[in-house]
This record gives sequence, C-alpha cells and structure tokens, in this order.
Amino acid sequence: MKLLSAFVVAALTALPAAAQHVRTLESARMLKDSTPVAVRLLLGTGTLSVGASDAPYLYRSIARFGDSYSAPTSIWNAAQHTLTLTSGQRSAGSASAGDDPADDESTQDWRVQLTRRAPLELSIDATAADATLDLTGLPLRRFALNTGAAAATVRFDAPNPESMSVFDANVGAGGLKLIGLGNAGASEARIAGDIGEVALDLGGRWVRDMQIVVTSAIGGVRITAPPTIGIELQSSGLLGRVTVDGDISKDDGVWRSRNFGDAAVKVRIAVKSMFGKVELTQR
Amino acid sequence: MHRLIIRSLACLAGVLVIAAGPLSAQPNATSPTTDSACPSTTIPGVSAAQSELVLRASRDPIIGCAAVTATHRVGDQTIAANDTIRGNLVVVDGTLRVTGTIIGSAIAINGAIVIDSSGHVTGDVVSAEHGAAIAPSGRVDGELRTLDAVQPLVRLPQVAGVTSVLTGLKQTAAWFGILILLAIGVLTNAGDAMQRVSTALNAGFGRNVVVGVLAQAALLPILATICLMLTLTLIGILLVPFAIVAYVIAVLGLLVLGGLSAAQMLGTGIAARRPGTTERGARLQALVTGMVLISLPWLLAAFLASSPVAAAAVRTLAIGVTWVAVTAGLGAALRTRGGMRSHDDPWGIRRPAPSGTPLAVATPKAEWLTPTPITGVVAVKRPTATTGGTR
Repeated sequence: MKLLSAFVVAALTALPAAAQHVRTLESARMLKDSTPVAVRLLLGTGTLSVGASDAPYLYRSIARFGDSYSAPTSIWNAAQHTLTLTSGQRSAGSASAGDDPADDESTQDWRVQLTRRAPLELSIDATAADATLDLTGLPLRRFALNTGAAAATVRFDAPNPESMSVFDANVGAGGLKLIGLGNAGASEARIAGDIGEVALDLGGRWVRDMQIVVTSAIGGVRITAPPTIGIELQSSGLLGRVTVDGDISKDDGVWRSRNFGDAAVKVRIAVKSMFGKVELTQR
Repeated sequence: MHRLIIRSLACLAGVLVIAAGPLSAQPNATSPTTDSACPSTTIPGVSAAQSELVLRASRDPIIGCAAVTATHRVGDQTIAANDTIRGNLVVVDGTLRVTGTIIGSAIAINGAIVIDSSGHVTGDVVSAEHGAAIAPSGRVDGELRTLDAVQPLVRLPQVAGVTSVLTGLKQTAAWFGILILLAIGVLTNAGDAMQRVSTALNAGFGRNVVVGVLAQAALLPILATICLMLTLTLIGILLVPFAIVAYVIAVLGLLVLGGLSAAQMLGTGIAARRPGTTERGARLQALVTGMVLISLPWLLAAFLASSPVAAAAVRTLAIGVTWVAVTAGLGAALRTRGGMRSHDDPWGIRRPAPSGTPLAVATPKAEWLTPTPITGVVAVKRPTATTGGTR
C-alpha cells in the first residue's frame, strides 16, 4: 500500500496542469442583393443560437471554440445562392482534453445572425447541440430542423415576412419547444419527436390555415392554442391518451373546438403517439 | 530486508515519475498543425518575431497560406482611393485602411482592417490577433473574418505530452483497479486454490512456464477438437456455441487464477508479513505487492508515452513480464487442476513412500470414536499405521 501511495503522490506532483485554448472567430459575408438564399447550418456538439440581424450582412457568425475542435468553415456558392456554415468538428484523439464538459477547451458556443433582407430557406442540423432558435423577423420560406440528443427551442415572436411552405422539425431524444407557431406563416408543419416531449404553442398572428402532423414514439405532446383559432385534433396511438382543456368536444373520435366551424383560421392537428400522452389546451 | 526492498521500489518509482516529466515535455513530432503545402521560408522585410507570427498565421486554416505568399507590409497602411493592389496583401503590427481597391485578400496580423465606403476588396478580409475586420460601408466580395488569436505553430508540447501520459496512466489505473477487484474476489472465494497454485509455482517455475506454453499452443486445437466431436451428433451441434463459451470462460478463469497466483508468489517473496496479520491479510498483501511489481513496467510505459520509442521498448518489456507471469501461472493452474490438487499429487494419488517411512494415518472420523457405531456399520477394520508399501 505504501508503494501505491508513493506512486499516486509522485504522479500528482509531477504532472503540470494542462493549458486551455479557446478562440473566437467572427465571420460575416456582405449581402449583395435580395435573391433568396438556401442556408444550411451544421453543428455537432455545443450550443447554437440563431437570430435575425439588420446589418448589411447575409450572415454574421460568432464561434467560440476550444482546441478540441477544428476551425468553423463557410461555403458560399454565388451561382446557386447556397450557404453552408459548419461549426468546428471535434478532433479525433482529443477526448482526454475534453472529457469534462465543464472544461472550456471542450466547449463550443456558436451564434449565427441571418439577414432580414433576403428570403431564406433555412436548414439546421444540430446533432447533439442545444439549439435556441429565435426566428423572429427572419423571412423564411422553408424551415427544417434536425436534432439528435439535445433539446431545441424555436420561437416566432413576430409574423414571418414571407409565406412558409413547410415547417419541418425532426427532434430525437432532446425534445422540442415551439413558441408562436402562428407567426411562422406555414401551411404545413411536420414534427417528429422520438423520446423527448414536444410542446407546441400555437400563439401568434394567424394568416392561413395549417395542417400539423406530430409523430412521437414515447415522449408526450403538449399543445396550447389561443381561443381565436379553430382546432381539430385527431390522435392515434398504442397506449397514449388524450386530455383536453377548454371549449373542446369529441365527435366521432375527433376533438374539435366549439368555434371550429366559424373560425377564420383552422388548424388541423394529427398526432401519432405510440406511448406518450397528448394534452390539448385552448384558452 | 523486505521493508528495504519496498522503500527502494518506492524511490525508484519516484525517480521514474520525475524523469518522465521532462520527457513528456519534449515536442511532439507529429504536430497536427503542420502544413507541408505551406512554404515556411522567412518573410523578407519583417523582423524575426513578425516573421514567426506570419508563419503561424499561415498554418492556421482560418487564414491559410495566403499569409506567406502575399505582399507584406509592416505598420499602419492606407490604400488610397485611386490605388489598386493586385494580389494578397498582409499587414503586420498595424492597421490597414482601404479606400482604394485590392484585387485579392487583405490580411492584418496583429492589427485591424477598415474598408471605407470607396474601398473594395475582391477576396477575403481577415484580421487576426488583437484586431477586427470592419467594413461599415465598403465592398468586400469574400468573407470578413476576425480571429482573436492565431493557432499556435506547434500545439503546446506540455499539453500533448501530459495528455498522452494521463491517458496511459488512466488506462493502467483502470486495469489495475479491475485486477484488484478480481484478486479480492478470487482470494475470497478460491483463496486455498490460489495458494496451491502459488505453491506449485514456487516449487518449479521453469517447469510451469513450459507447461503454460504448451497449454497456450494447444488451446485452439483442443477447442477445435471439442467442436468437431460435438458436431458428430445432432444434439452436439446445438451445444457447440455453449461449449465454446464454456471453454473460453474456463480458459480465462485459469489465466486469471494463474496470473494472480504468480503475483501472489512474487509478492510473498518480497513483502514482509506484518506481525499480527491474519493469513488472508498476508495473502492480500502479497497479492497486491506482486501486482504492483508486475504493473511497474506498464506504469513506466505510460509515463514515457510522449516518447514513442522509449514507450514501445518499455511496453515490450511489460508485455514480456506479464506474459511470463501469466504463462507460468497457467502452467501451475493446470498442474494443480485449477488449484484443486496439490502440485506434487496432481492426480490425487500418493507416490510410494521410501521403504521404512511410516505412512501418515488419517484422523479417524467420528464413527470410529464412538463406543457404538452410529452409521450402522459394525464390522469394519480400524486403520492402523503400516510401514512401506503403497496405499
């Protein structure tokens, strides 16, 4: 035992503390015209926040990344008007320096601001990164989100200046919180959540009807709607049950709000949940 | 004497650790930041420090080789409204103000870049090290990049060295911990068996090594034979997977028993038994001491991780030491039938004693000591001591 103790003490005293290097890269590209742009953001791990900007840039990216990550990249195709921004990828063999999530070197924080001045088709792949997406004011024609194990929050605090064709979100185990879907201006929303909870706030200024399809394996689905819109809910699943709160009645297996027939905006929701609980509140 | 040996080993360990410190701080030969495609010549017209900074910047993928191949200027610079610069321009230790045109990229290292309203840069505008790339009203066809710090030319050797050493130490410690847990389990449940194997090892180390080598060579043929024989019948075919699993478990069990017994034997020979220590405590002490001794080369290899040649040499030594110990242990475990028999009587048959030697008499069981037979057997002859002969 003395021998062991000698080893431990000697090892602890002989090793200096590892230095950490965290760098910040700010990049931007000037906006030339208002031609629609297809933007794709790729992120592995870390945190991602997306917002809108009035600056004369197509995008402005601020990435804070440690030595464990490669440098962020951007690919701009002027002919096709496509932009791909990729955050740093975790280097192979860097595990020892970045095992501890609290270690600065192993963190990656990425903030992206996109222009309000050109219509966008935005696609985000955040494998295991917590994503906070404030899409307020962004002229979105199409939106797609793919996440793996991390949570995502998407919000529209103001109406989308453009008309969106499809709002597509595929969230794995982290769950999705969607706020102000009425402001998205989409005609269709497809939301898939495997394990995590899907929380939909249908607030906002509705300008058109919407068809929402929610697929969930285990996680629950929580829907909150304002009383100004008509709601219709069809739920199918194996063990999940539906609870409603508000002026909603069930007819022939379909829940409808009392105002559904007269409402200017009708939102039809189809939930396919295998085990999760479905909650609909209209107040 | 034993205490002296332990202290010497502790001192040796300390020396090895201290010696490994400077070794681990040597530059890593395989730097991830080295880019052979980028020229590494000295930059003309700038100081040595500025040249090194430019070279570092050129290795950074965010800036690239343009930092070296460009035209270099030092200090604050202004590209006038009617001026046109063709090719990449690098400004070191100064601010670059562009009111004219640069057909190429503009790079400021340790300085800022400002593109004025009449300024036009057809490539990228990059500011690295304590600067900013600003284009409030100018025109930039490429990307504006501001990097707060250029990547070090060579990843800090201490970090790489310490990282690899720590990884090696972690792995060694993890294996040591697993083996300690195994050792405690074996000592608790099969302490006597381990003692028999250890005694057998002590009685003839070389013989056990030979048996162990032969056993290792025969492992696969035996397994193949078992599988072949099982396939002769329909039920046997179904049993093949189970037989393989059982065989592997049995072999692993023998290897673990043998290896731990070898460690115990080694520890018994070195560590002094403390007064008042129980038999099991003494065995544990010997076992741990032996395991530490066998782990020493692995630990040394971990400390030398930053020096690939030395680490490989020591690791070869560690593999050799461990293999010899496990092989001898396997041989002893086989000779003692997994510690179930004594090494000098592996088949449970006593050898004929020399003529005239009295044979030991087994202690009579309870039924022989009672006046009335309790088992109902009445006509059995009580054993008596005899001389010579085989029983």
